[in-house]
Amino acid sequence: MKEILKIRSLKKIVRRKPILRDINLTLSEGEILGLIGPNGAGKTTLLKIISGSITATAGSVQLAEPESGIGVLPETPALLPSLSGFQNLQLLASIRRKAREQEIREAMKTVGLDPANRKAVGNYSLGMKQRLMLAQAIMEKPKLLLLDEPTNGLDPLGIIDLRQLLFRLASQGVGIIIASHLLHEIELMCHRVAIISNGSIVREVNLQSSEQHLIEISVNSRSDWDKLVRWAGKDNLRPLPSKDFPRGILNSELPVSRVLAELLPAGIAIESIQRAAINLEAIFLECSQLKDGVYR
Amino acid sequence: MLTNIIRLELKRILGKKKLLVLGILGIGLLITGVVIYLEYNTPQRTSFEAFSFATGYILPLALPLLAGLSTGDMLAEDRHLGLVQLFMSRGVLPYQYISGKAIGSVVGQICFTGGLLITFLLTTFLLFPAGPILEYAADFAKAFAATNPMVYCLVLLLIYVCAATAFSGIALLVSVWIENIFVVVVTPTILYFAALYSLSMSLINPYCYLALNEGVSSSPSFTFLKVMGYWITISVTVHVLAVMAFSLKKDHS
Repeated sequence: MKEILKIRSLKKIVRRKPILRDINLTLSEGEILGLIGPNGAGKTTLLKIISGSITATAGSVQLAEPESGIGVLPETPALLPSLSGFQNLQLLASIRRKAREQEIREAMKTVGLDPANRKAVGNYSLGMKQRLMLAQAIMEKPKLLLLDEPTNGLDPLGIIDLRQLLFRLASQGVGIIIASHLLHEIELMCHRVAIISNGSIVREVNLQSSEQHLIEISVNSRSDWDKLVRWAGKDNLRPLPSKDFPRGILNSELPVSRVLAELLPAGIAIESIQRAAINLEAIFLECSQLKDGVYR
Repeated sequence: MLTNIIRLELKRILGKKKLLVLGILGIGLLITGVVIYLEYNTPQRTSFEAFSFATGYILPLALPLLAGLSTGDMLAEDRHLGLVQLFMSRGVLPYQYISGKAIGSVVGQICFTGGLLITFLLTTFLLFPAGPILEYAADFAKAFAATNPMVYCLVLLLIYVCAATAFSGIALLVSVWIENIFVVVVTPTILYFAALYSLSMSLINPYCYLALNEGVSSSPSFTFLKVMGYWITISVTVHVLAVMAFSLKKDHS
């Protein structure tokens, strides 16, 4: 996959206080990257530097296609309250003259808004404003989208719509960075997650299962469990607390189908078997431990 | 891109309903000046004299606030709403963005203050007959105003427009650092009155240049040029400083 964004040794210092320290990050075409971190970790600053509204103290941000622009969804809706939704987008579109009226209407329809609605944006609900902001971010068909807390104010249906829209855009080759506090949403939406703490990326986690070696497995009886332990080796099987069937996490590089194919002939009665999902919450807590009562 | 930004800014500033409201307020204030004019004696009441009296009575006090309210908040409003990030993400460079604002500030004031004063001048034609300004003109230009009342009124209009662009530019410059819209729009008024009370009627006191309290030693045309030059210098300086300061800033959000 072609890299559309490359961040090298990025630093931001404000009044001698480091806000971002040596950030290195890449984003490929069609990739959805989640940025998570405690409040004040530097997520929004990083997005603002990428979008060009803040200058970095050192380092570089390289866009593969700078002419295609960046779609930005800021943390709070940035709209002129006296204008209608369509007029707001028209105004922003007039900066580059890239999106015509038809494209503005399409973008509004994509996010579930009526372009013919003449109501002033000041009377919109927070969810409608957020949808409109999303429309302005995608209307010029940028190759890079920066979304800061995109689910803010959205109802459950809006969140589902957003998720589907992002998957669709990613499948069209758009690279997306999402900063959010909602770990569950990040888990559902993103291919990869970067955890920022105290201005540094402390960990990158690939949420795509192909790189995972953990399989959650439960068997019918204690004797089946003993057979499983013998098959896997004690070090590769970690038991999990269970109310009914014996259950555990198997560490194996084999695909699930292959594990299944080996266990069934061995006479092990399997109740369930699946790839173990990454526990983002556990990873996040590990990376953002409290130090002296504050996040480190 | 710069042309698009300028076009967008002009469309935004001239499309604001706020300007219409402030225009009506401004006309109301100037009509009050005409009412006061009626209480003063003059050999001949004329529309030009009413214009000269009312503008000279009201604008040296109200113009800084009118200018600040009308176009002074252009940048502060964008910063407050968070629009700057959306401009920058579309590839607009800081100097392009702020240049659009600076040009919007100047053109906005030319249209707003110019339009206000032209409307008021036309209104005075409905109230009084045209004729010379015999009494209420600047001391240094009494003879000129009596013989060329129309030109005198147009020169006044130009001076007020230049002063208004200077006040608007001060607000723009302040908003490079301050996001609070209220503080930004009242700053030109505060600075103007601070200068009025702290500086004596010297060469740099802005009140002298707005109320035309000039001596009679120079010729009228020279004095008019001096007054206009004073406001143009301030206007150009503050607008250029605003463009430079914003362009050099590291955080435009």
